[in-house]
Amino acid sequence: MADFKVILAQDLRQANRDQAAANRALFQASGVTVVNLISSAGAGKTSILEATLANLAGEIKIGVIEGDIATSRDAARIAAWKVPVVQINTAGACHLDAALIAAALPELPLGELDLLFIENVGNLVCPAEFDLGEDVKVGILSVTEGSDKPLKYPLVFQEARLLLLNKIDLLPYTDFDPVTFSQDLRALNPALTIITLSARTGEGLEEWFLWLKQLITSKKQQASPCGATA
Amino acid sequence: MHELALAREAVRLVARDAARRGCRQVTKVKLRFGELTAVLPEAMSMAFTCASRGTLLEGAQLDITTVPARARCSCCGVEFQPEEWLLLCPRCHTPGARLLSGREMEVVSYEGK
Ligand SMILES: Nc1nc2c(ncn2[C@@H]2O[C@H](COP(=O)(O)OP(=O)(O)OP(=O)(O)O)[C@@H](O)[C@H]2O)c(=O)[nH]1
Ligand SMILES: [Mg+2]
Ligand SMILES: [Zn+2]
Repeated sequence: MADFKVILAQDLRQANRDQAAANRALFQASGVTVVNLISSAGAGKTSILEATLANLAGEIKIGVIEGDIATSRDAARIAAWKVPVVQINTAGACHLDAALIAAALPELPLGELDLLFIENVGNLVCPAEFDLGEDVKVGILSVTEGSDKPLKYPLVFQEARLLLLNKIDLLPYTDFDPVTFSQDLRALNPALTIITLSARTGEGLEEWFLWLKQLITSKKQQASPCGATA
Repeated sequence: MHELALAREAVRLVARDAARRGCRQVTKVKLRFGELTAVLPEAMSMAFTCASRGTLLEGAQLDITTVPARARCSCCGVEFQPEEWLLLCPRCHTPGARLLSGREMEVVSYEGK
């Protein structure tokens, strides 16, 4: 074959976008609200999930997908609450992608769930790039990480609809500056909601639960705009 | 960053197209990344070497271009090169300008024989 040149002009994220759209359609059809939790390692994703399950699992049907590079420790922590949980090990990859989620979905009773949490791999950068088909991304930052993080890792703060500022019980021991922090967030993403909480002491959790319930309700209303009951 | 995942996707897209055309070897691949994507050209180049091993793209020359960020103010309409991510308009100081470029991740083209 003679030398030739092909103009492809293809987006490297397109395949993931297509898969994410397929996941989203499946979530929609199952009537489940999906929340993608993104934070750096150790900010408190699993702790917040545990506190959430402890308080809401009785009234809301919740499932969990745990993404980790290795081990199923987080899934074991979640399974203690007797909710459906699937562990995805990414084998080194720094983020979950839509295909990994699609592969995990048959393991979950989607039709029975009101709410599905996806705990992404602990990493503040890469997970923000990859749409999984979720309804909302929720960013989590702990005060021990420092108030300069929004400007240093902006994408997750722009993509998220809600930011949970965790470990507020540790605030007195840090130089975290809440004023600069909220100013920077407002400049990056004026629509972002911020909830300050502590998975350890329980402070602020009620506000998070309320936000979740409102999210589920508004999703259900979207699905049936005339308010008709099934 | 996730250069390896992106390199695998680039290899997949090019290899699929090249195989369909009956190409025996891909000699050059051109990629384009926006400066706000945090993709490092050196890391990308290493990831590409790994991802292309054993494919039609093995040994292909990689050409990576970085696209500068541009934004347009949603208030006064001025076009500017944003300082980092704040997208603060240099003229009227309104935040949240619309990004025109800087987030690209593309396979532009390839050459083969
Ligand atoms: N003081 C305090 N410690 C907390 C709080 N939330 C979580 N922690 C602790 O922080 C550590 C990490 O919490 P995890 O919930 O495992 O964090 P994670 O984000 O799930 O971590 P990875 O899954 O490894 O990315 C644990 O030792 C928790 O007990 C909090 O609100 N206050
Ligand atoms: Mg965890
Ligand atoms: Zn302006």
